[in-house]
Amino acid sequence: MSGLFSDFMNLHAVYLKWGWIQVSVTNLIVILLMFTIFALAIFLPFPNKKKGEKK
Amino acid sequence: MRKNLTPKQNFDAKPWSGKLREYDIIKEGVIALVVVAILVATLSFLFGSPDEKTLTFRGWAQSNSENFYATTVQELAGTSGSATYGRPYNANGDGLNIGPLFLQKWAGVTHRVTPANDFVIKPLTLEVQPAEVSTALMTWKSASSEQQNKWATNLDTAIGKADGKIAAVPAGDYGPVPALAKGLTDMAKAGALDAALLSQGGFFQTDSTKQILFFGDGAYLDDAGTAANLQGGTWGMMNETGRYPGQAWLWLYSFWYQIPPFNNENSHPIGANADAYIMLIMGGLSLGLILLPLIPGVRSLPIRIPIHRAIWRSYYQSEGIKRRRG
Amino acid sequence: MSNSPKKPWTAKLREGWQNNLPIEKLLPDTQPAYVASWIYVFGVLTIAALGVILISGLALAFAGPAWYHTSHFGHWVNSLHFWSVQLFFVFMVVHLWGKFWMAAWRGRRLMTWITGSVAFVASIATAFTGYLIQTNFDSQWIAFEAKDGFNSVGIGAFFNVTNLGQMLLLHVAFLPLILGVITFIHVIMVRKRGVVPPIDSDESNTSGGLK
Repeated sequence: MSGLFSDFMNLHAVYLKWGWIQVSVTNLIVILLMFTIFALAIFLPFPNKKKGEKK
Repeated sequence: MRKNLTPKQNFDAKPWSGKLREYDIIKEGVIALVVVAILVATLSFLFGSPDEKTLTFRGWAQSNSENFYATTVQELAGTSGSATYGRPYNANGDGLNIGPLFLQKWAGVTHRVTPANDFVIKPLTLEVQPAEVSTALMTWKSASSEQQNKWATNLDTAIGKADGKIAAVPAGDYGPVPALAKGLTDMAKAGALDAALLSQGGFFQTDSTKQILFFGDGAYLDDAGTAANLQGGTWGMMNETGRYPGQAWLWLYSFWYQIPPFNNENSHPIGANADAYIMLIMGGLSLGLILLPLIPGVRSLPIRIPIHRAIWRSYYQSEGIKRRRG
Repeated sequence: MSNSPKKPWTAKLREGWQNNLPIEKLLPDTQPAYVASWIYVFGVLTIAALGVILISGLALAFAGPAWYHTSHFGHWVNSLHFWSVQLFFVFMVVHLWGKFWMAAWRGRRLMTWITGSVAFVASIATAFTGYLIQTNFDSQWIAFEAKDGFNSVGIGAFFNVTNLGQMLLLHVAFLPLILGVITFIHVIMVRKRGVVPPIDSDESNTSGGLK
């Protein structure tokens, strides 16, 4: 089955242009998401249980 | 290889003898698999995936028969992209070079393609043709290659002068070429050319080289690529059809095609051989990534820009560890 | 009897294996206390994505290259394959960034870095052949364009992107096998050497044992 929003996804992509730089909105979202995920991965607190400690 | 290690290097290489924490490697793996499977299933359910139908010779000939006709004439005249490509398809050109390195040429003709025969004459011969096309085929086959070339070149030049408007081409010494080109155009419109190029007179056929080469010689495939924003000169290598994410990981490979001198075919030697130079650059950069720990300056960046202080902050804090310099 | 030239190969392999990679290292239930950041999950997320890629890929392979164009279920399986590849690269790149900023090649971990970055390049090559065998417009376009790059440096003479049969077999058999082997070695290297200690820790500031 095609996706719920397949019709939307199969429309022509939207491109953002700055001079010779051009990127599709979707690709830009993916790239920004990667930077965001990286930052979150570093800065989000991580549960810390040392060996021997019980929950 | 074993030069004297610094105390820090020794420390880093030794098995860890410091504080430990609980860990369940199998549980971690299973959770990761379940999380990713759910994410993937959800994305698939919501967005599906790109699958634009193939273009066909039939579509080309029906939507732009003039361009198809003109490309057929170029194949016969030996002036098409495929005909003048060089290795690995034929020896009609030296291909690209990087200074004295003619790697394309040196690789030799390993996938021989003779456009006039493979794209035009053979497909026409495979089908029963109207009388005028059969006669044209006989005339073509019994002529010398010089004569064949003369007829086809005359028509190719005339089409060029008429700006591609076939109806505006004046009468001339074209021999059987107009009938051959019309015969192939009619074959294409009927869908018979797709079939002929697919089977190539045989039965099982899994190599689409001839179809792709012929297809790309005209405007049909190129126009479709432009419409979908897939052209190399506009970051097309990163893009996908529709609004789907493309290949963001190809950003650096795509980048070089956007800047001078690579983006100018007429700039020698680099622009005219951009494909080869960019392959070389990307090969070098890939090697650089793989051997990064051996590159001074780059390998010390993580020490000089202390993002690691954020990554290991809870350990540094609980142990009271200050930043090392050097 | 040890170091006798007559020691069986099997014994040598077994002992080498037990010495370098005992089962406790392969399947640990403790890890160093500094392995406490979300950045550390991106390696296993990459492998998990690879797992989904392989399973969806096997389904696509079983049903043949044309199935997903006409079957609704096939289209969904293709979507699984498409999105798992997208996530695979996202996770792998975040993992790479993390490992770079941790200078994770330290302490005899050069081969871990090398196998990881070779896996990255091999993944790009594998994905590339995947795009070529979609048997849709995208494949036509990519084949026509990509041939020029490879031809320009002579690679096109034996790696023919317009040859559907060759690309299909490379993508389904040859390249996943190579990628699998590289990934396996990479993971074994991580298990063997352990997770790299923090940049600022050394003998003077590391208190030992299970505290």
